[in-house]
Amino acid sequence: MSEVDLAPLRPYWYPVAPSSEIESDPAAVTILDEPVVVYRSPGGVHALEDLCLHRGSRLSLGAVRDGCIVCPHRGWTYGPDGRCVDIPSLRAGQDVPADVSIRSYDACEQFGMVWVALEEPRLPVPEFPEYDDPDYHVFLAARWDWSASAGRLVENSLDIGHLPWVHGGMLGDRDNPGAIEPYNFTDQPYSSDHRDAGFTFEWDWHEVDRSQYGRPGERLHYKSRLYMPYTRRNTMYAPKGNLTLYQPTLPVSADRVVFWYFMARNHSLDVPDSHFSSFSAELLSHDQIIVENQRPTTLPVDLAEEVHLRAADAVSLRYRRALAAIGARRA
Amino acid sequence: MSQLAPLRRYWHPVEDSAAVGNGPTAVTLLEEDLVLFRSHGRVHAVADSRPEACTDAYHAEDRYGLVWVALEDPVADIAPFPEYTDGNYRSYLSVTSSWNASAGRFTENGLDVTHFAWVHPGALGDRDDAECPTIDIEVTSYGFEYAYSRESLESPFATGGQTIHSRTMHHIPFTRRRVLTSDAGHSVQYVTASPTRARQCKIWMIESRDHHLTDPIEPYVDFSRGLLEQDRQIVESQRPEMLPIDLTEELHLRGPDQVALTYRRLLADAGVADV
Repeated sequence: MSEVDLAPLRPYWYPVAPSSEIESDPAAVTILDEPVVVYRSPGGVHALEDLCLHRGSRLSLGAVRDGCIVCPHRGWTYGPDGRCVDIPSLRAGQDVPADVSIRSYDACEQFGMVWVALEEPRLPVPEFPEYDDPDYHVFLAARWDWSASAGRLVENSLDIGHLPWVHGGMLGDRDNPGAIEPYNFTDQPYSSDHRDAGFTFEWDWHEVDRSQYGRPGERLHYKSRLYMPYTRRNTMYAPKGNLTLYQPTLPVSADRVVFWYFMARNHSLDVPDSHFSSFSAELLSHDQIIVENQRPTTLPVDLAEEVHLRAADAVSLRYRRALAAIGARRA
Repeated sequence: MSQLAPLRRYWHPVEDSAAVGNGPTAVTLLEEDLVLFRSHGRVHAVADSRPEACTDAYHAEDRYGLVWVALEDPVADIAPFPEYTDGNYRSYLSVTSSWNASAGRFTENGLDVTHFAWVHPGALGDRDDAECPTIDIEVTSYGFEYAYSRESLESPFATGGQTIHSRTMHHIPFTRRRVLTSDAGHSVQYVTASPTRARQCKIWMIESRDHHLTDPIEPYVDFSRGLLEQDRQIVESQRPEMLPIDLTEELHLRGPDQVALTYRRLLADAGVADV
């Protein structure tokens, strides 16, 4: 997907795997078309370019030894800073050339996930305060891998107008979809320091027959936050308590996206998690069919390319303008 | 694929001879679809788009159990394999498979001595003793030849601790004959890769030996097949997929990489671009 300029999307933290999956073996991940190897040492998690400088072999097929990664092809060994520290084929007395170094990336762990930034990140890791809140029970409900762009996925996740149509009976009613009420945009939660960090909006929604969140006919309050460019956190406020969805999202390439679905709630703690995860899995399976088939595959940031309704598409318009502000033309 | 055009002037294997009969057999060489068939006792290769136009036939030959094709007048002979017809040797096809790798990447990996300890630990080398041996290398009319000695490792059909002398004759672009000499006698590997498409190749390994002539072949075949599968996993991961002929594109070590450097220089001299 080289025609799509992904460069403006590089300086952000992206989730690459749950921490529990980055163990003693190196893992291959792709972020915005860039092959990256992620591994763990006693010092934490590390991310390097997944390419040995010698013969272009994939380091992720190799092994971790003494905090370094060892190429499977000829044992060239790279430290967490990307510097080559050993070339076993060199003869006694021959030194590793001083300037042999591959790219290393920032990597960290938060909220049970490993995050990597291809360039100096402009924003912190997207917030998830419920994760450490003792009143909440948090679980990882699912990992999804879609043949779609991250931008199309996220815009669909933020959009209210599709609910009665794609999820009729579960979230809204196709025979009585109702007009979209004006969204209430509120301040960004984490970022007076960061321009273009994202946005927050709130709305109310009538629950329908199969709703899990409230009783049919009940009007619940919702609050969604978008952390640029692709991570969403959405909270439903029901009389029995709150349910938060946290959706860290990895743009693999212009036409492939992987995302994780965390659920956090401060109520119904005796109800099995599967009660909640199976409902959201059914919703997302409906979305997947629609979103994977949207054309063009990538989200057009230029507002002239698709038709928008002033009120009903206010969130989409806000999202596309925010993408334009960070220099993205496709997302 | 103008990048592949210089390779049209070389012989390339395209199919097992035994698989080609009087009826048509479809093969691909250098992104061109060809049809092979036999008539009047000879093998023929024509473009698949117009099989009736036999006057536009390509050069085709049977040699060493394989059908070889040159799309233009060849500038070099098919790499010789004298052991194949030597009555003192027993020869057999040990491996044939298709790889998602360029013929250049496949070939360079097989020529390289320093990968043995890493990709084939225990079988062909030892990771704790991976220093490159001294290699004598000489450019020849057909390509280059190099030799070195190593100590054998214990394997299902070899005893450890013997000195093995390895001599490789490499024919530009993609065929090597390697003669391993030990106390037991000579073991020969004839390995050739066919550039079916830019990033794909088909490979053959034919083996000959003048010792252990009554041993069953299967353990030898399994051993070779296992080694090539180890190589495949790594070589198919290499990026860029095509072997970069420009020496500034990858890092080369004086000493350990002298064979690879010679190979890339000779490909460049032959007018071949990244393969």
